Amino acid sequence: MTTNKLNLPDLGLGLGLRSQHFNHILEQQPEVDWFEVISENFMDSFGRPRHVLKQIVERYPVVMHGVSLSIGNTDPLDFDYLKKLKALADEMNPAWVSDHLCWTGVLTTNSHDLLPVPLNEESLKHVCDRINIVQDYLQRPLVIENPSTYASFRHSTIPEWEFLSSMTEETDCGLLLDVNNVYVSSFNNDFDPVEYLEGIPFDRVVQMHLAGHQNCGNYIIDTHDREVTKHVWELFRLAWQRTGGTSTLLEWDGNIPAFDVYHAELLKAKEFMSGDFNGIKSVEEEDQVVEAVSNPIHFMVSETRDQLEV
Amino acid sequence: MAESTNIPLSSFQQWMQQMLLDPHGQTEVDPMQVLPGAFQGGGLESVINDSKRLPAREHLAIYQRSYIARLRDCMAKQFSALEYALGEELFCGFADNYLELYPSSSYNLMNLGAHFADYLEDTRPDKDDPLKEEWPDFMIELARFEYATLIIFEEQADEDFVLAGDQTPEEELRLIPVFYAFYFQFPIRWFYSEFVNGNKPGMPYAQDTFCAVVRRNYKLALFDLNPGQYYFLNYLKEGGSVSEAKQLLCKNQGFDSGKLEEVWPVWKEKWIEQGFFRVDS
Repeated sequence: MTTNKLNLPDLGLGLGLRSQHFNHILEQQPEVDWFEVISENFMDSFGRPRHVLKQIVERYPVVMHGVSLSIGNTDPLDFDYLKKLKALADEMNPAWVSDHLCWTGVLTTNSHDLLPVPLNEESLKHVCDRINIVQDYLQRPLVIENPSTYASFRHSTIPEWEFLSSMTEETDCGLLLDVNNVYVSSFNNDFDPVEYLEGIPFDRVVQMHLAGHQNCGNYIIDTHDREVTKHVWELFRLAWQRTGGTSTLLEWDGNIPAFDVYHAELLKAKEFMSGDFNGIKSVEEEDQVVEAVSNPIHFMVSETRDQLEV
Repeated sequence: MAESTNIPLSSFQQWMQQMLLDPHGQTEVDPMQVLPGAFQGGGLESVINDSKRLPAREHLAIYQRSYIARLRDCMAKQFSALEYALGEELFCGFADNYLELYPSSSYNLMNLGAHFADYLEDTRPDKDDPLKEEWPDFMIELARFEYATLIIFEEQADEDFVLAGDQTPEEELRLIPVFYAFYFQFPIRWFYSEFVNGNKPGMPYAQDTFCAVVRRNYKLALFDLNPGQYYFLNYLKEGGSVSEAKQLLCKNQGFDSGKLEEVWPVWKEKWIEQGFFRVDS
């Protein structure tokens, strides 16, 4: 079934593929609708991760989600990166390929962060031009995710939801709506998350993300290391109604739990999709003073030691 | 949103990146210099908004703290045995300084620690002293080995081969595609294995050691070698046959041919059992 303009399918409820769960998935074949894989984990891997992925795609639908396209970057597009991305996509045949509205570094430096783009006419044209080039190169639509942000800029002149709307209109790309990112960014940058959702072109949303975050008191960090909070589930419910049903994925990148715990948290989404969520135990916001890291990436480092006979 | 003087996107990105890479302004680069004239002399408040809860400086600080913490986490994961050996605090100091000198230039995180062992060698505290301490040598050697295991784990190689058995003719024995023999000045294999097994090894004394790293069915395994085995296996690795490797071992390393014929059946049996050999096809 599809309800989006890109005619991309509703895959159901999916999980991020993490190396800690490789053996469980291969051995138990759990009833998960689909998996999202981090593209960069497999593009240059010719060892066990890629070997496992080949087995996963035989059993499950897969989506490729990247963190290094750097669509907002003013350095030239990295065609070496794109070539490897395309090769992986051609081999794994994902339902779609996504990345973030961000930049990762300039002058050949890579911060490995999803850095915020000032939102104005110049950046809109720049991002749209690059999306068009990438879509032509990959020969498939690109799906762009709203990032979590921790700052706004004085020379931004377009609200993020309007930027995303114009971007999809100009390029025919899809949207990956991360409702946790909407909540995190709204808290950090003083906007109304419901107003944000009202400005989203839901006919372009082909996927949603859910994740946990850490409230540090006067700001929130997108840690992906815990259960989804009550506020984010509420935004998910609102967004879900607007989409009419779309592929939904739970991200969990730090303190990664056992597969069954991860899956159980995802399945809570069913209750919010049906509107019957009064009996669901969801997590309340709790202020924490422990310093948190945004966009954790250490889970992307290969688990060499776990595959070692010593 | 309020209209404001524009900053070209490229200038903004250079400014923000410099603020991340040099949060304390320790270099001579003034990030404000890349911004348009109207911003010269202004603070970061002329670029970043205050919010209800945080001043502009604190908003930027979230990115600054996360930048180094995120990459430090990755370094600690790539060099977990080294982090244990150095202790967390000292490792962090080295990692932070390394990331400052060698900021990442690759989308591939595997490349993050590619120069770390060289960095440790270049910055060792006794670099200019005629008498060297042992511990830096150990740490550098451990760093090189840990990084090598990462590369070997992800290496592109044919895994679809037939392992040799007891009956495989000797002339058909070939090393499996992912096979490496290492020489160390310290018992690196022992230390690494102890660490991986959850033990708490102390820093060992210097001692020449040798080990093999093999990858079969996408998993790594480590095996101790003696010096003769190390050279013999390296000759095989270079593409020679068993008989050629035997000749080279005797010719280049002075190994006694009679003794070699005595030990070879033992080596062969053990290495076939350990999966070092495939059948030449």
